[in-house]
Order: sequence, then structure tokens, then C-alpha cells
Amino acid sequence: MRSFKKQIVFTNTMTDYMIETSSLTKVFKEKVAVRGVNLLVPKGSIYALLGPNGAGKTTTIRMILGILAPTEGTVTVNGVEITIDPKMIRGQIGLLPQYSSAYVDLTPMQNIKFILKLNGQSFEEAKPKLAEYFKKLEITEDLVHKQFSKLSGGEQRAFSFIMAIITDKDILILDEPTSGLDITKAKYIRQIIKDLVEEGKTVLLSSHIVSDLEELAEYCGILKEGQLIFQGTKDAIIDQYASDTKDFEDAIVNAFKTPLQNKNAIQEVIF
Amino acid sequence: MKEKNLYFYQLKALLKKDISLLFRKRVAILIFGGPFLLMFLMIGLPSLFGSEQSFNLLVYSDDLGYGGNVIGDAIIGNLSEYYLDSSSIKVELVDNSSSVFKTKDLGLYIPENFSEFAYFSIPILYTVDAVNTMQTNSVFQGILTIAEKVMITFLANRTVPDINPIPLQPQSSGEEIIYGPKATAIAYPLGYMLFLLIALNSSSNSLIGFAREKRMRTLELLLSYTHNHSFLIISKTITAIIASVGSTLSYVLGIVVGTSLGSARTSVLLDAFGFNMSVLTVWDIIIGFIAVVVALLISTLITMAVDCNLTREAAERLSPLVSIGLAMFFYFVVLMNPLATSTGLMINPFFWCYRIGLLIISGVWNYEIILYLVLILGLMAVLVRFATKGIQKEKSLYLD
Repeated sequence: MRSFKKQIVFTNTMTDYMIETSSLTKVFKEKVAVRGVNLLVPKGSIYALLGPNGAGKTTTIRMILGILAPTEGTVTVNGVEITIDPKMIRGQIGLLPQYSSAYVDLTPMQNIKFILKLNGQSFEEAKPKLAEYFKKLEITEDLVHKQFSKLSGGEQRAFSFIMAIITDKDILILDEPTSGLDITKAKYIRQIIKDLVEEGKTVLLSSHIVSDLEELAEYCGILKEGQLIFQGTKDAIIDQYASDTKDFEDAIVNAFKTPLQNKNAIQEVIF
Repeated sequence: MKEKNLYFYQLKALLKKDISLLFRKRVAILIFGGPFLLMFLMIGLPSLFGSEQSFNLLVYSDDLGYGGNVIGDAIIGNLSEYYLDSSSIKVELVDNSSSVFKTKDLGLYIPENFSEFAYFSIPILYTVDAVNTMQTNSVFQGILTIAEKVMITFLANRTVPDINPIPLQPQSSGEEIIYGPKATAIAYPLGYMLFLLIALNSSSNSLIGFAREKRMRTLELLLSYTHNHSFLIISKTITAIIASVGSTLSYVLGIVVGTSLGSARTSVLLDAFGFNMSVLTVWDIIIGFIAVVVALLISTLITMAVDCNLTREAAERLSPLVSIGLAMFFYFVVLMNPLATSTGLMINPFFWCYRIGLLIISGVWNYEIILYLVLILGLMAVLVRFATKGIQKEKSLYLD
């Protein structure tokens, strides 16, 4: 029988975390959305936050972003505890929300300019980077000046992704970055994410797309019913949940299926 | 970038975005075009199509008089006199009551015992409005006012009054005497304008406010990037002020254009919906204008506070109801007596704006002005605070 004690096993020496949560809990009226989550996101890595629908991923992300106050627990970003003053973190994280979020009456370019201005950045300085992303994602000039609502779902997603990364934040939270994109664009986006991590950025990824996870995820955290039931490297999750098939997708499915045996979180951190 | 500079940049960026969204086609048509179009349709269009047509007023009196005085004849005499030079109303005296009741225009019949009842009880006039439009209704209001003034003056002084200088406003009251002709002239049009603009803008308020951000799923983005969330509220409030000023200007422009297209007959309508410039000055109109803008701003802030504290669907359903409900409650009470106050009205923020406007226009500088000013500023501060607090609640992020 498994121990219900907090079992933390570090298999490497990395203790330098960009995002740390400690006993993070959020209660909505009587529903516990997130229960005692201790998330550890290493610096300069891609960390995939996984879980079935309603597991508490979005709520956890919102608490990390400082836009939802935790009921209990703390969030530390880049060594600064932000729970006391959430203003500290605002504007420090590039965000791609789950759904394409932009001003549909404006053009993609106007949306990008707005995000840049909101972050106190000059459009002129961002221009070369922007041109590079447009080229990588095969975005043509006419698309940039079209009304956002008139773009296809995939095009909207691509622009939302650019809006998230153009501000050049050290931390990126990307929720379903390739959802609705064609195979080519999805591949380009995955490459851009890898390049950004190469540059030293930390990515917290939430996705249900296995190809994204297989290619990108270095570390995984699995949330179920608001509890972090596992976190560790990709290999560790395979070892834990799919030792027979060694298949990453099987490992995730098996992890999702594993019944919660105790409402007090089982937390296994295997790095 | 220095933190203070970033704060300034963020407010500037938010403001630019909000104002830019306000002037997008669909929103601009609703907020800036709607009031103009409505007033133009109400005043200008009927004038365009009906300016050459005049109404006949068929009048007959059976009044036998009392004590040698025939008040009915005095009323007819004054009506004929009053509308002598009118191109829109022609008073025609007929020799029997059935002609009056069969008229296809307007008719007025004074029964035989009118004078006697005027001395001892409540006299009755019979009126016919076969056309029954807003214009004929206004004419009738005028006719009844003339009849009433003649009767009262006759009973008091035994002389037939000169009606011409008497403005054809609703019945004189104690309040009218206190607040004077200016407040009397502006009270009804101001109340109507306030109600109409709040009702018209209640649906577009959600386009300015946070319901739209929630619909576009941009609120999460704004909350995560904006250091100080009160900037989001400040920016929306400034946008709401611009929208309120634009909406009110559009209303006034609709009246001006409508009137300029109309004939003299439109002046009767102006007494009801517009401003009687023979009594009011430009300064009075500006005060009324400011009162309406402040009321619209309160209405937008109410919407914003509701939007920020409820889920999107609940907010979209509830917020227009709150504003329209308060405006309707204000208007229907004011309609009864535009210059009166009541306990019910005194808790209505739209009444505070209306009342301050009336008091300043009539030059009555009393404690009421300070009281309502404090209440308005206090309410605005509470609504902004409530919205800022609410935006950080989890509910504001959820759609359903």
C-alpha cells in the first residue's frame, strides 16, 4: 500500500525553481477547486500541468498569475512570494489563455500594439522579433490588418500566441498553445516554444494534445480533483504509470484513471 | 522602465483601447447615433410629413352661464384669440354639439351647466381628438390649460384674462411658484431626457463595460498584465464620461435638427420634449446637460459594478434592469409632478442629478444642492470601489 505521506524525491540537484507553490488551496463556496498543491517549476524548463477537465488547472494558473487570491498557501515566483502582494507578479508573466482572447473589433496588429503598450514596451523595438514570428508562422501582411473576428480559429490562435510571447517575459504560461492549429503551424509553435526555453525562459504548459506534451514537456504535474497527484520528469511519469508499455500517453491516461485514495494530497515529486 | 512610468503607460494604453472600442461602428451607432435618430424621428420626421397640414378645432358651447357670467363663451373667446395667428390650429365655431363630436380633427364641447358647476362643483369639458397624435395631445394640453386659466381668473376676478403671456405648461403648483418659470419650463423635458437616455444607454453600457471584456475573454489578460486593477475601472469610467457626453449631445442635436426641419407646430412638441428657449437661457441648457451626463455616468458605473461582481450572464441580465428600473421609478413619479419631491425619489440617484439641475437653473441655492452633490460623489466613489473589489473576485472571471 502506498504511503499517504508527502514523498519528495529529488534525483537531481536542481532546486532553483521559477514557480513554487506551497499548500496552495482555493475554495469556492463549498467546493474545493485546488487542495494543498505544492508545485515546483524549475527555471528554464517546460513544465506541463496536466489533468482531466475540472481538475483545477485553470484555477491554479490564475493563482500563479496573481489574479485569484488563494484561500490558503503561498505562491513564490522567481524567489518572490507574491501571495502577500499580487501586484508584484502582474506583468511578469506572458499569458496565452485557454481560449483566444483578443479584441475582436480590432486588427491583430492593434491587439499586439495594445499588449506591448500595456507592458510599457515600444512597438519599434518589438518589430524585428514580430517580423521573425510572422515569418516562422507564415503570417501574411493582409492577415495582420484584418479584423480579428474575421480570422479563422487557427489564425486567431496563432496571433494570441504571438501576443503572449512578444512581451518577452521570463515566464510564459501557455494554455493549449496549439489548439485549433493546423499541423504545420502547430509544429512551428512547438519549435518557437523550444527556442524560447533555449533562451532561458520558463514555460508552464497546459495541454491535452499528446504530441505537444511528448515533444515539449520536460516536467509534468498531474492534477486530479484539485490535488497534485504526481509531479516529476517525463520519464518518471512513464515509470510510475506505464512501466509496461513505456508510452507517455498511456502513462497520462493511467494517471488520470488512478483513484484518489485520500482527500489529503498524495504528492510525489520525482526529479 | 520605471514603475511610475509603467503605471502611466498602462493607464494610457487602457484608455486608448477603451476609447478606440467606443468608436467602433456598432457601438458608436448605438451610443452616438441612437439618441439623435430617436429625437429626429419623434420631432423632425412628423414635421417633415405634416408641416403643411393644419388642424381644425371645432368648438361649441351650450353654457347657459351663472349669475350673468358665461365662462364657456369666455373660454371660446380666448381660444379663438390665442390661435388667431396660428398656422397649425384653426378654431372654428360651430352651431351644434353633434358637429363637434363628429369632427375628424379636434373638438371641444362646453355643456350647458358649465358655469354653474364652475361656481359650485367641478365643471366638465368634453373633448374629441380624432387624430390622436403626440402633436394633437400637446394641443389639447394647451387648450385645457387655457380653459382652466380662464375659469380660475373668471371666478376670482370676474374678468376675462389675457391668455397670451401665459405659457401653456402643466398646471401651476406651489413648487412652481417657489422655483419659478425656468424650473417649470425645463423640469419635464429634463426628466424625459434623463429617462430616455438612461433607457437607451442601458443596453450599450455593457458594451463599454466589463461584460464585453468577459465576452471577448480579454478580462483575464487585462487582470494579469495590469499592475493596478483600479486603472481598469478608471479607464472605463473616463470612457463612460465620453460616451455620456456624446449620447447627450446626440440627443440635443436630434432635437435641434428635428426642430429646424419642422414648422411652428413643432414648438408645441418642444414644450414636451425640448427646451423652451423663450424662458430658458443657454446656461440653463448647459446645466441640464451636465445633470444628464452625470446621471448617465452613474448608470454606467452601476452597470460596471454589477458586471464586476457577477458572472457574465447574470450581469448582462441584471445590470440593464437596475438602471432602467431606477430610471422608470424616477420618471413615473416625476411625470406626476415634475417639481415635487418625495421620500421614494430621494433615494434615487437619478433624481439627485435632476434635482440639482433644477435647483441651480432656478437659482435656489440651498442645502439640498450640497446634500445631493455629496450623495452623488459618495455613490460614485462607492461604485468605483465596489467594481474594483469585484473585479478581483473569481466570479468576474467566469462566464456562466
